[in-house]
Amino acid sequence: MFQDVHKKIIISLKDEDLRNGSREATREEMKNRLDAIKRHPYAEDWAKEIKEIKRKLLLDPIKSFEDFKKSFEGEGKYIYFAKDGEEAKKIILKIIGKKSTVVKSKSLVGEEIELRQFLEMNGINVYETDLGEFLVQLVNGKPAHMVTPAVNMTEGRARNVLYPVIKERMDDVVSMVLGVRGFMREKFLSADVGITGANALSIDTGSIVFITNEGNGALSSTLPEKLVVITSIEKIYPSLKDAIKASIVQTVYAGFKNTTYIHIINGVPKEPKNGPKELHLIIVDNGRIGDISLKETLYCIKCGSCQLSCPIFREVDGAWGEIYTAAIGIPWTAITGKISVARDLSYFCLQCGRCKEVCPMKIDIPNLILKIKRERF
Amino acid sequence: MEDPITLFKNSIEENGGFFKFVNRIELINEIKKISKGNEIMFAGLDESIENEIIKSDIKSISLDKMKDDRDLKNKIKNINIGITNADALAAESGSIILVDYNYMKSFAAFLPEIHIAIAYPEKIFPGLIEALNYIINSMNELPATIQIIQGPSKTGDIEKKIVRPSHGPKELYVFLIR
Repeated sequence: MFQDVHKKIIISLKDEDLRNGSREATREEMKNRLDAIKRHPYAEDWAKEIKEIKRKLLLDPIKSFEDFKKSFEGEGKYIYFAKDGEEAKKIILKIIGKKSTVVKSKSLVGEEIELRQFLEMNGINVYETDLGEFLVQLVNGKPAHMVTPAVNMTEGRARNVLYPVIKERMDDVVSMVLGVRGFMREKFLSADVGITGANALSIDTGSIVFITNEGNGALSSTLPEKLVVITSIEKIYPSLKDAIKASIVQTVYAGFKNTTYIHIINGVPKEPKNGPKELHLIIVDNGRIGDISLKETLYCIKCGSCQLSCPIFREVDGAWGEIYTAAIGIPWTAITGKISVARDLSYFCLQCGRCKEVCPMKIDIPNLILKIKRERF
Repeated sequence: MEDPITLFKNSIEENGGFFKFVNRIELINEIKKISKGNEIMFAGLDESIENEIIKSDIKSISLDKMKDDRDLKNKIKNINIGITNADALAAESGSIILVDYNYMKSFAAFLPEIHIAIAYPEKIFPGLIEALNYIINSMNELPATIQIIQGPSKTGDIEKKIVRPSHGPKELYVFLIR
């Protein structure tokens, strides 16, 4: 209901701590992005290339999937197409089995289908290993932003959230991060399964590309015996080069001058004794292929620049939206969730157009939101 | 236009890593200085460099020789220095590329607190895409994984404050062999 969104936003506006956290984190977003583009001047051209490539591939996403599947298949590798979240979750549960421990890296598709909550309900120990996601998991909340999920959490709040699990004195952010490192290391070493998302897939080499800064993706994709990757169909690119370019464009527009790790997974070792023995890749549709009128949304590479530049997001962050929040989050909600929910959210858009201006894919987000508001599909 | 070596040095330093152009004797001394008598593990090194490490008084183990040990990760979890080769470097972005068939290089690069990568000047390429092209064209079969490392691990998840290390190494050294 529209009123429910309104109520959530009002509550969020009254939470000074949360507003400060959100403002602090978004204050320098434009400077960060411009600095990152200056550091990687080719990113603007790459963004144009990627948009053109996506335009062609999205004309026939099923064919892209079939082409990718052909080059991906091999020993120890399994690929699945899931039409929606329910199907994806069933597949994943079957792969990992009950009573296992999972170390999980960030996956927006995982958030979209509420994978962690589902696995926990089925008695599986899941550890979110990305710091932001771990904080969100500990408060049982939802990510506020696509790249920095705990963007709205102040240092003080984060400390209070971490203390019950880390149980050490943490005077500053450094000691908090070190505490989490120690806690999580044991989990990485003993986990049965690693789950991660993917930034891109490449048809020519059948590769999975994903990026992390923390090294959590590095450990969760190399230590456990089973590796499960979950992603969505619009992430398929013709070549490994395109996949890398798309991943870099994403980090640059997210405002990072440098991303620490780019992982390219091609398969499992021959006669593996260490590292993953099985690689399972689940590609989720969840409303993406069928929708024609909001198709432009699928150009989105999920850098989150539109969220950070949105004046509403800056004040209320995660309160404006469910799983996907603010700006492009509204059409993503319409595609992967309920159109009625997206419509309720659409009324809070100011149509100021900043999101469209900063988007590397130049998606006409205000127009998509207008379409949702008018419900013209 | 800066030469690729200087450009790489500047990039990796900007990303929080250390860089030094060394000869083989200096390399062994640098490793000694960093390891301070502690045990190191290595993977994917040239035979000649491997031999020099073994010949020296540095305590070391070869992951390539232990790759079939099913309990490997528990045996190496407390080793705090890992050394790998670099199959290519990209100057513009300060990238180190590891081609890894059996996860031994990944373990040496990700598990310890310090990762040392050893490279040769002819493996430096201007940009990441050129470096990847070289890697892909020089491979007969795809490795299980290709890892691209562009600095020590970090997180900016609390109030966007950048903190090192996170889950990966806190220090990254690149030694380029003369």
